[in-house]
Amino acid sequence: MILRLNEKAVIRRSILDLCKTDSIRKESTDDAIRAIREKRGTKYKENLWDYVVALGAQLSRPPFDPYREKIKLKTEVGRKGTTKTILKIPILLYGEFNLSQSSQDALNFALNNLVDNNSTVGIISKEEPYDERKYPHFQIINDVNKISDSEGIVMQYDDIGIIEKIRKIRKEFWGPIIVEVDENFSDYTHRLLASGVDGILVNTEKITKSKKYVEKHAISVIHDARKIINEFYQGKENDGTCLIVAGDVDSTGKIIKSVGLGADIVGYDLSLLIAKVGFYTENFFDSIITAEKIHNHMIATKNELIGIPAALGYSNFHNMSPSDFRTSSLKASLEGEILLEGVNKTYKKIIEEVLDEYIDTKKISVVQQQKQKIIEMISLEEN
Amino acid sequence: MCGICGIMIDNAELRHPHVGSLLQDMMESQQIRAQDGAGVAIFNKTNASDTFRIKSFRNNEGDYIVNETSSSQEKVDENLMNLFGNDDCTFFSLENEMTIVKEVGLAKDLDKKYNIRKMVGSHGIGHLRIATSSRVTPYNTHPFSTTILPDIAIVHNGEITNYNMLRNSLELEGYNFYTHSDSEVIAVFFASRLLKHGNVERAHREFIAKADGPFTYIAATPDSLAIVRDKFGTRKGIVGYNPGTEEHPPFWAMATDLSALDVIGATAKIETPHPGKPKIFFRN
Amino acid sequence: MPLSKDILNLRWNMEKIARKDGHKTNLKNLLLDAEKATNGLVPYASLGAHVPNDYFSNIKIKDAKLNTSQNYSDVDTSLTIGGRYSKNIIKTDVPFSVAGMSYGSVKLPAKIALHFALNKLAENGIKVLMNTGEGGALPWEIYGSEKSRENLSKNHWNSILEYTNKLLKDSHLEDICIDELFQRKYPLVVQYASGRFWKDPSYLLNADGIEIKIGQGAKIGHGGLLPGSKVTELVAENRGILPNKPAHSPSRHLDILGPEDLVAKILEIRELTEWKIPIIVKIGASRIYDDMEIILKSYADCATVDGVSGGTGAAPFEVREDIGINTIASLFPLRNTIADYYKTHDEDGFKLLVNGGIWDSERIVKVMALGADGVGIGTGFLLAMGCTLIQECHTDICPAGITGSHEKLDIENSVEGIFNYIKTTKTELENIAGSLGRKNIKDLEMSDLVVNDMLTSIVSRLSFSNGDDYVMKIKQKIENVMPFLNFQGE
Repeated sequence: MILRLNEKAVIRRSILDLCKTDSIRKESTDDAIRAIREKRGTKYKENLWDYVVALGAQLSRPPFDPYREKIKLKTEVGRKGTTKTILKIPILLYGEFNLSQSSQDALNFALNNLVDNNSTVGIISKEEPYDERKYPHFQIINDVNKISDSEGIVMQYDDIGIIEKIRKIRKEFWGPIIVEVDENFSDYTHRLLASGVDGILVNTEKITKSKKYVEKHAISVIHDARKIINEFYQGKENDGTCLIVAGDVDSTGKIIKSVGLGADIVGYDLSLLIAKVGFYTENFFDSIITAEKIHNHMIATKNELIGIPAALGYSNFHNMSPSDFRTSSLKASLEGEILLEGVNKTYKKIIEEVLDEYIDTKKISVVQQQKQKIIEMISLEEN
Repeated sequence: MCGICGIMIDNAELRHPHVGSLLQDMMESQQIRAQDGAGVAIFNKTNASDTFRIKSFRNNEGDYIVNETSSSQEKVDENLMNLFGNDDCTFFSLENEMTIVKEVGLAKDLDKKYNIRKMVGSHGIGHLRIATSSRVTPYNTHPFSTTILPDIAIVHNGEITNYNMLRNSLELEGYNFYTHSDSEVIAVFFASRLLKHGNVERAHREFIAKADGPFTYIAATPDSLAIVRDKFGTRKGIVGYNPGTEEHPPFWAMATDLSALDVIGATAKIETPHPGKPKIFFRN
Repeated sequence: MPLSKDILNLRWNMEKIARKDGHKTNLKNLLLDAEKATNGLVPYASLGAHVPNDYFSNIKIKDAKLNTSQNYSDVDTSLTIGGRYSKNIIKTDVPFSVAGMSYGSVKLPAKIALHFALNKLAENGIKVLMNTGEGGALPWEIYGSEKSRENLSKNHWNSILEYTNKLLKDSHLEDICIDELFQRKYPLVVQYASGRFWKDPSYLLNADGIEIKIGQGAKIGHGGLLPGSKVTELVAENRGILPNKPAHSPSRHLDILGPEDLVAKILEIRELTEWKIPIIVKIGASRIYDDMEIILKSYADCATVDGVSGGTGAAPFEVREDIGINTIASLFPLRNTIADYYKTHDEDGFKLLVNGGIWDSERIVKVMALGADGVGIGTGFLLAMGCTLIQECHTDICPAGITGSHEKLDIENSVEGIFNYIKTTKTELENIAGSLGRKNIKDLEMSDLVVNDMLTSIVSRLSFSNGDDYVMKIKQKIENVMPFLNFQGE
């Protein structure tokens, strides 16, 4: 089914032609749809997320049924040795801007309510934590000397001097420390992890705006970040470092796909959440109603998050892995090393196979580096 | 996705028990469940020696030939590394007192070829395979053994749905995989945990906590035999006891279907293992 | 989930805001978020998933003519199902069938329109297969022949008539002639789904085929679903469930956990039906290689594979959008798996039906040339009855009166529409096959299709219009970049 109205109209008209006049059509519907798409060009660019789908469980593995089996969403933040924070839904509400007092009240109320309903989510915020909160609060700090009584700390990476700061904080703070990294994370993440950082936060929206990731999608940021963390754990067991993906995550589908592709926790845009449930729906702002709506929204999201892993045959949300995802876009396949649907290979792998055959038949010697270069060049070409 | 069975002789020292014959009976009674492959692993203390047998499959234009090399304890790692580097060879098993045989086809054919009924020992496991997500080849047939520790064998019925994730994390830890079967991950995980702390029960519990999907498996080490079901109990598994007679010693038996216990008269003390709780029998 | 006035207002509000925003934000997502915030429930959606790339429009049929002056009515477009293990064989005159749309998700007038239209076609010599969907069958579908009514006790027959009258009265269709209604001239496939919505074995015994539904493209890994607002008393009576409560089917057959269970289930049904009735296994397109291998080994006569764009009456929004692969993409692994199986087995008449995103003759041809033996059409028939594609089938507000009860469906017009739709589609199929020089629609080959982009070529293994396939295209690219790197031949 196609969402665009003009494409729907073409299909509908064409079938009504068949029904009403009892005459054979002259024009092909698919040609007409193609013409519309070509004319539209890149004006409405589809989001790359839409091209990524998961593989459901059927015969080769039975799906779980959330009504019968318990699906686990629980996530721990914190590595071995730290005081771990437990989230019942792998979501941290994430916002850097200053919230109005009434919004903060509403949020506090909603999050406490969620804890009571066994659906703890955390929050990453610049604000001072509320005293009567039951949920974990991760405070964004810049000043090492101003550590409040929050459950966790989020620091923004500015330069490598941050490692000194972390060491200093570690002396008196045992909760998880998370570092929000910039686009050059591949250069220093290993050093951060070695210094005992519990989590890496990537804001895909910020990073994809940078020069290094120009024209790239959040998928590639998640893929690269996960790769760096896995490289750090080469030869040993991961002791609980988590990758938090924030930014371009504003729907359940995106949460699922980013976790499937490598994230452990998602940073759900706080401003968007409040806007969605609060400002847009009411003419006036009411803390109680907004709190109720945030609560409802999170509960519905939780149930959606339970439904998908169950349909994929998992009883634990975090058991989804990139091998459960397929894509119908070459770009997505390149950026996230996602397998193409049906053929179950990445685009790069397909090029490599053809290249190997080519090298074999032409009997030329190519070193690995040159091979990679050729694959890189071809894959970046427009098709 | 298959039929599994296991036998643990109670007090094996007394007489010379035909574990092979019991396993063969159980397998043939469950043959209706699966027809893609069959295999057994049998443990016999008297076979234990200083040398290890490394078995591998060599791909000879589509035919798989079993290669067997003996190796002293010091050379095992070196020989295994050679095997891993060789694309034509697929690891089969690392044996000392254990003997594994497996083939594509029916249990009857396996018996014809290897004379299972004549195999003796203290305990053993058997498996009938119907392929779900990996191809019908001898090296995807159960029981699976590992290169990490010798004399480990597992047979498995069901799916490990988060196989890819477990495999990736084990590979990151430095363990090698030789097939694309989800059952291999059980063997590798189990052996890697045994290597770490040596506690069979703890190793199984750790696997239950980590693994996802519906499964029942039977894992054998030289000293133990365990039947393990997933935490929801979605897959079958049943345990029974035969009190023994003048001719044969008492034994514990476990299988997928009750019919397999009926055939060999292991119908005393019948119980289904509790989901998520390994049921372990030790050799005495 | 009832669509309360509150939510309607809310939707209107959101739409206004999204318009002001210049549609930068995704309107559909905003609406869903509003629903979630209002009632705290998982939002539902209906019809097919929003697939940004479904490949169909990137495939062209080489030199085929839809409309020609020549008469190609001698082209064979028939389809047979069964005979692999079953004694009976279903024979239809068109390679497409009415995909499963249950009574409940589709309202009674639409079901009656389909029934009458297919009867009318059968009278005109075109037999079309109908699938009941996962909602049980209507009385006239089960007892539509003299033979099926033979052994009915008087009491039983009276209770059937009573229920029929209730059904007709509820939809204000009392003027329909009962005798005319209780005549089924087309073959019927009933669904054996995880919900088990039927009352007695006659549901299975009087059918021409049985389809074991493991999954469907729109909600793979999720059981069937009918929102409470659509479970009226009569629907509930037909399904044997409680009225006004949502009908959630289990996400799997509780006794089918794997291949050997499927074999056992099929053999059980075979014994029940004395090995007469063909058995079809339906799955959604997902882990095709593994699932198809299992079906081939499981004593089924036929498999139905439903692509992700296949429609549904209701599914959780995220399940519909995020799970499953495209119809075209599923055909390459399907072909491969079937070919692999028949390397070691004799040809025995196994059939492959494909659903999902297919609604006209061209798409039927594309799918059949890529290896399918037949197709199922669902949304196409809804369009023929006047569907406007607003995708609100999970609510009760269908403006065409097909899936909602607020508007009245014109049955006579709908019958006419479906009749013409099938007839003209059949003629178009004949024209396409005929103009390609084929005598039988099954003779269509992959060489009859061309693609115009790389991805479609990789996924479907079709060639470009100049005869190159994707391998050659990549080779050309390699040759283009080679001069930039310093290579030495040996």
